[in-house]
Amino acid sequence: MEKKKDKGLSPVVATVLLIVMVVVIGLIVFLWFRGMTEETITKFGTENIRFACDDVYFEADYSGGTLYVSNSGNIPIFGMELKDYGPGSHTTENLRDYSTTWPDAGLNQGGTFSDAVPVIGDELILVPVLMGESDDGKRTFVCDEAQHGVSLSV
Amino acid sequence: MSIMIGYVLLITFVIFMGVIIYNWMKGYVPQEDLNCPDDVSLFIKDYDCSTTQLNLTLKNNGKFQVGGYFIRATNSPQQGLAIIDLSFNITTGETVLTPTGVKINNSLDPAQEVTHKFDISHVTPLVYSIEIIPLRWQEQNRRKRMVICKDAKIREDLICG
Repeated sequence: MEKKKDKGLSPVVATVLLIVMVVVIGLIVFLWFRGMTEETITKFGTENIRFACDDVYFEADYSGGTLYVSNSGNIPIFGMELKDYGPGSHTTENLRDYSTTWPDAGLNQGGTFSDAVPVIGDELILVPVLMGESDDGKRTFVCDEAQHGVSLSV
Repeated sequence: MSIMIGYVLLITFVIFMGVIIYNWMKGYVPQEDLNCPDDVSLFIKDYDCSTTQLNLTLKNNGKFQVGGYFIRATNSPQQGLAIIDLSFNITTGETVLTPTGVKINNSLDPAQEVTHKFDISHVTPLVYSIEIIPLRWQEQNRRKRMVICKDAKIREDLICG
């Protein structure tokens, strides 16, 4: 009787295949998971820009159709979202695009801004916009309105 | 595969994962804030104000050195926020900071006074009030950084003319 020949993969090839499969599956899971998480924007090196928003401090006033903003904190404010709340609706403008007097480099520490801003509603909310760094280069970040927005009665 | 190679691979993998997780997580940890001490305080000891010139005597009545200040004015009682920058109108030779602010040469030690003069002829009709925010230079990561003492802000109504 002829002896049946043993066929199959050698242990070395099997181990190599196993490692390659684990690495490939790991990469796929990593890339999939990365797509689901938000890209981190940093400021001042490695600090997440969300924490920089906590240190933003500015004062604002609206009188006689003119909006006054003064940056009295340690964080430069690149832009400012202006939400005009009227009855049943609101509009949002960025002061950078809306006003020609907003400084190109943003409102640095101690910087001030004033310009005529026509308002339709009865409440204005100013939300600071910061400039940070990401893997794709410089990116803007709008701070959280509930935490960092400043409300003005018109 | 020998047990030794298995261990080497395992340790390499753990180190590699550790580096990746560290780099990913460090962005989620808040860094130490650079804050101004609570006991920083400047006050306007004296002022002399005409239609063209403002002389200010500032005294450091806090417990820390003050390195400079932001100075802004209003020109009417209706203006709630002082936004007329006077830093660039100082006439006593102090260093003017970019984009704004006055640097006190040699800093102002506690209990010391300094008198600065400003040309206010461009403010029409008159300076109604001024707002001063002290500044300090503090070290962070071996670098001197300017810190704004927003809680030590002072505002005073003036009578000019």
